Amino acid sequence: MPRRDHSFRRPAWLTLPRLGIAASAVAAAALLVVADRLEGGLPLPFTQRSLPAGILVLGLVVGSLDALLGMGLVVLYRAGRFINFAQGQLGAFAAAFGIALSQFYEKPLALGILAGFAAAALLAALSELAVVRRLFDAPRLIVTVATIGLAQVYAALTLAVPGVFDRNLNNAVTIDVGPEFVIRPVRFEGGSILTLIVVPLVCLALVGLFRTSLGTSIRAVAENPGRARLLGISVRRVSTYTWVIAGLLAATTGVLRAVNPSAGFSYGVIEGPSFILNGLTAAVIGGMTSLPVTFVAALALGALEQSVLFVTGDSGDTNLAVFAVLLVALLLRRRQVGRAADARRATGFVAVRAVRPMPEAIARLSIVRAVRWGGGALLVLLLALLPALLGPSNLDLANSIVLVAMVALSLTILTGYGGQVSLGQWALVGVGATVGAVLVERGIDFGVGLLLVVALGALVAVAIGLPALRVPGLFLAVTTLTFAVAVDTWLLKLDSLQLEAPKIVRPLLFSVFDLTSGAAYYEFSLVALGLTVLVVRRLRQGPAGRDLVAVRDNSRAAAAYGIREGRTKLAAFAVSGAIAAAAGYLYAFQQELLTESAFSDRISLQVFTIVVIGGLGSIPGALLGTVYVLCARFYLDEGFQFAATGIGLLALLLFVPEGVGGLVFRARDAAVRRLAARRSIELPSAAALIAPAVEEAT
Amino acid sequence: MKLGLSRGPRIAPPRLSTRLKTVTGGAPLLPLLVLAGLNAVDELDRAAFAALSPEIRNSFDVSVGAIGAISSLSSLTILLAGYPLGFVSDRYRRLTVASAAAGLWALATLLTGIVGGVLLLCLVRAASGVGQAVNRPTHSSLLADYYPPVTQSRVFSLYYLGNPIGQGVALALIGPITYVASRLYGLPDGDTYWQPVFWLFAVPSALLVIASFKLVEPSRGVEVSDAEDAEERVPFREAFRTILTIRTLRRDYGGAALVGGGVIALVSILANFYDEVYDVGPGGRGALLGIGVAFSAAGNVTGGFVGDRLFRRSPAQAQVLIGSSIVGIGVCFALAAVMPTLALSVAFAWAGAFCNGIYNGPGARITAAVVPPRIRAQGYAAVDVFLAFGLFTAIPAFLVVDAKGLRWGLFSLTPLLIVGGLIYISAQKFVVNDIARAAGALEAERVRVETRRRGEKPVLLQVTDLRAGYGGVPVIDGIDLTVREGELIALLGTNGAGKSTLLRAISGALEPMSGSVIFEGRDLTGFDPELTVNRGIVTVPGGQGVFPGLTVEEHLRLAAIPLGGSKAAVREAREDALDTFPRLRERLDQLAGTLSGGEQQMLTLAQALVARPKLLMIDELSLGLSPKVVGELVAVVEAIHQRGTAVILVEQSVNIALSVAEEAIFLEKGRIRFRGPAAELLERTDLLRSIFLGAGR
Repeated sequence: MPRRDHSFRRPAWLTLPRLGIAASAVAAAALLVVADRLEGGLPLPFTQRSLPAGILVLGLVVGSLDALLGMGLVVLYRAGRFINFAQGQLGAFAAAFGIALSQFYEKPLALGILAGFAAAALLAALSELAVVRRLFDAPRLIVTVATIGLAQVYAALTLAVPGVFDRNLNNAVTIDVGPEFVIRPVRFEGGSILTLIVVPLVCLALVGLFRTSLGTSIRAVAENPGRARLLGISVRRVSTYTWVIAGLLAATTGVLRAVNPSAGFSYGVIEGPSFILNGLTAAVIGGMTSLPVTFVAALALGALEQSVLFVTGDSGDTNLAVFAVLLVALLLRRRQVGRAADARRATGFVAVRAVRPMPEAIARLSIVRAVRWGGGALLVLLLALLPALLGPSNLDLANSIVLVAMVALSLTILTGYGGQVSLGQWALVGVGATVGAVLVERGIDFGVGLLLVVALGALVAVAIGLPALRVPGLFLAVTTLTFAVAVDTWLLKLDSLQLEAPKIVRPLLFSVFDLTSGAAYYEFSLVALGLTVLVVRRLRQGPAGRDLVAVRDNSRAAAAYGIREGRTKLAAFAVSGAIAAAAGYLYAFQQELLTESAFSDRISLQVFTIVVIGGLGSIPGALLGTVYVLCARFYLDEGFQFAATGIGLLALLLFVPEGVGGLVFRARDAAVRRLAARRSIELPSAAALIAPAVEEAT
Repeated sequence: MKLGLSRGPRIAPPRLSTRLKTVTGGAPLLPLLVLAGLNAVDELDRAAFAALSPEIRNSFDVSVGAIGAISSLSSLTILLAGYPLGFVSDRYRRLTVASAAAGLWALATLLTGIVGGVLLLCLVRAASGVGQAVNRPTHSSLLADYYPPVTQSRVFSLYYLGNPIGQGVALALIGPITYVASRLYGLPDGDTYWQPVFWLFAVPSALLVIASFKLVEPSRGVEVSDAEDAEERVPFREAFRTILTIRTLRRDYGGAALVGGGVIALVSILANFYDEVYDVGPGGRGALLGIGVAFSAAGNVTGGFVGDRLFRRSPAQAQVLIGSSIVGIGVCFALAAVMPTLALSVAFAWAGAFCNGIYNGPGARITAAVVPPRIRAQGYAAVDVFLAFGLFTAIPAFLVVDAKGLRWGLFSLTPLLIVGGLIYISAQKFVVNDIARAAGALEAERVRVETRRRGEKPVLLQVTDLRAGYGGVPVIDGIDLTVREGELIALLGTNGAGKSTLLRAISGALEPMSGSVIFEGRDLTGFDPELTVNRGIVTVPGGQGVFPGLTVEEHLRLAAIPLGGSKAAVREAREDALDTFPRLRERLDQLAGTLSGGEQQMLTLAQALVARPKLLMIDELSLGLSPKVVGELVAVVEAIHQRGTAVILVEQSVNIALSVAEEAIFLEKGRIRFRGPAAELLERTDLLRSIFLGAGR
């Protein structure tokens, strides 16, 4: 780079982020003063409204809470290069636990909160010991997925809190902390003041922490754990300490939220992914590494959010705004120096085990053929006869399973074969369902509507997938999650779609098949699932699937063979989006009506757990995973649901990384080996029909 | 399961002691008898406390729950003091420890019959737990050194016979003693006079303490003088680490925590089960349980003989026997719980009791085999601690009893036993390797002692039969390597010969599959690299040795971690490193990612310098560097060597390696093909050609 002659030499301490922070602080102060002085507040362009200073300050308070969350995410990302989706839920648990404790024993709140802090630290340390540490060598995406499981376990714990103490605990606690003042038009109470004081201090403390030898160790471990160990750094201890710190941060977040009237508190509320969205977005803007930038970004987002909310009065719009900011931030993200090793560790599901086809010599045996075809036919027959065996509510469940299995299969393509994590697949289903309902409302034919929806789904998925070409896999998870939240709260508002009577009437297919009865619609859905299975199988066996897996496993080598990475990935997005939207379309007709909560972002996470539990990239796995998760949802209480799916997810990640589907293939391979031995057929690869996971090169 | 029962010799030899000697392989019987006796008399006290708890409760006027809590205090002692006491046994004369403990519990027994307050009673009962905490670890450690391995299953099983015998004797004596005492010195209000039981039960313990003075302390594996013994003792931390890295034991811990819970719950549920479900009176219950104890004694003896026979075939099979006998307990009691009639239920309970005896002898023998002699007591203690941990794993079963009754309660604890047993079975794949590793540690100690006696240059690193690799496929296969202090050895070989794998296995970055790594007399096999660094094994990795996002200064700060807290030492080491590489001093605040390749390699060497290694292992010094830089680095390596540091230098470039090293090792396909003076290797063109031409792969 040619040296340019600067007339002004920037001193070393005056880094760009610091300049930016100082500038935004000055700007914010100026904005506040102006807003306070002007009558009615800051006039907003393009609207008739003006923004009073109180709203901006409220934004700062709310933003501070998100900043705390975001900084927790940054601390863990710096230590382990993964995103902790459980951070928000851990805080919620700590607050609920602490407040319940103090109420139950009628002790001062401060004592309870202290206990909440201790519980969060302990739980975080336990999570690290039991889960994260075991996944030390796993790709970072796997750890990120594991935190989704942890979040569900924490959710189960949070739900259990009132039950453990006393069901009649005073719900919706009002907490009186110190003085209050008014900045038009908002009244600020002690909790808000506390937040504005505590959070900057925490930020400073964290920046200081990263200067200590523990901080240096944390960074060293994140960059190259193997080398750090050879220098005498106990990677495990560093990891545990980091989790404890993150746990304390989460508890601070949860407690401050609870004492904040703007956020509020009540027992047994699962906040879901939208809870951590702003913090996550701020952390991404901070490059997942800079604490101060995260802090400032969160404050700015808070102010933006409150302003939008004030103007439009619709929380969906705020989420859309955040989604837009996140997309811009991700697209502007620069690659940093010397992160090549990270990229290798961060992307791709290297742990996914490929299932090998059955050896030809075995497949030709008559007994094998009989079992394959006979078994397949038997299974299909059984599934087709199910309506005769089940009652109406169970048939409903079976039909849901069939349709959700299609969604899981769409993830099998995208995540299993393509290695792209999508946490927003259920939102695509929602798009399909809603648009389908609108189309039918306008009197469009069922078949035509399906085609339109499929096309739309592919289009939307490609649009989401575009940033995936630029950013590593982990951040795609963030984008898709944000998408899910935005869709949930913005797009699928029924009033904005002006659906008068959201009752959807099932059609008369080809003027012959009447689908109005539950049994008939089930059979119809089953056919759709069967077709999807065939499509996915065909795809995997054909050149497109081969390209996709090649790009997932080694994009450079794939490029050397002339495979275009971008096109291949986008094709995967398109196909999977089309399938998901089609499933949504069919789902709308199955449910016969649309509810606002049907496509919540929480379900989106659960749908993702389906494919992990089933085994990524395995068709039977996706089907079995759907059965497991949906049955858990149907038959269990909410708390147990979370426990079942969360623990199931974690157990599989830890002990059977190839998932339930992998177990099926393991059993098959054992049978094949035995058969081969009895017929004395030579199998060169029989010892390991399931290819061992690729060892990380050292 | 096919179990060949040993019926003993057809023609009975004339004397019992001669017959018993066939059990011990001809070794003297006295130690076994005395130690088994101590084990038995320790049972007296506990059995008496359990049997007399209603009377004791009356005397002290406490609730049922309280008396239960007091009697479980001894388990708490094991949980808290068991492992430290094991350490004491490994550190000092074991017989002294054993007799001191016996004296202590004799005193505790005596005092149980004397104390007046509840608080004092608690204290005394906690002290009586010392017996259990010391006996098994210390006695087993002693027995493992008294008797040859081939007989140990039998020896240990006879030792464990002490428990049922002690229980039986106690139960037989308690009744008569209290009867006679209450008759002779009857209390006015008709209370039972139970205290004399404890006075009398303290007597045999005291007698056996005196008998133990006649025993001679055996040596721990290698015959050494007292001074040498002091030299060879293993510090606490290290012993603890080793205990945690023995894979067989690691599985056993998990199994023990479950099985302990199962057995604890079993003992307290079974009597109530007979009582409530089948309405058996106290006398009948005593008979049923007593016969059960006899069955478990029979199982004990059977396990001893069968265990030794299986051991001869393969130690792994003995481990399977242990696990399956535990699974057997679970299955038998599950059946006992669901059987519709008392007779069937009892039959299965007795079968379960039989299984409950089998694993004792072989279990103790396997522990003896996989733990090096110097830390054996700690090995046993660790397993005991996990068994005592069963106090907690048993809780769910008790909850089930409360909620669903005794039948389901009994049934609900069987999963603990079955899963625990399966965990024990799963340990079988580690047994053979772990035995070899323990043997390697013992062999290394022997070599060390002899070297010292002959006054030779001491051995720094001894690697025995090391196998390591990736994904279950060994890359190095049976490496033996000795490095003496101050040696500079070049490690050469083709690509994929296993050079880096060997270094990684020594440093602990890769867990070896089998074999042992002994450094300065300490068993570091499978230790984490952060611990081996602290002991002085420092690695310079080839390529990717720096953290791109950290400054040079931060690198040096990280490298000082093994030095501990001393600021002066850190400063000195840092200055030393910077003087060696002045170029780094200019770049202290620069991110390492922006350094040139040569500077990065300098930085990793500087880090190694800061860490003050005893053994420096350099992997690929010259990788991707210009000859000039390599020259500089080689000079530094030689300087480090001149200070007396031993160096293992892995090099692709034979010329560089052989120009500095006096010794050379040539590795091919995971085995050592050549070891000798560097000059000799230069003549072995048959070996060297493969490096240059890439043949031999």
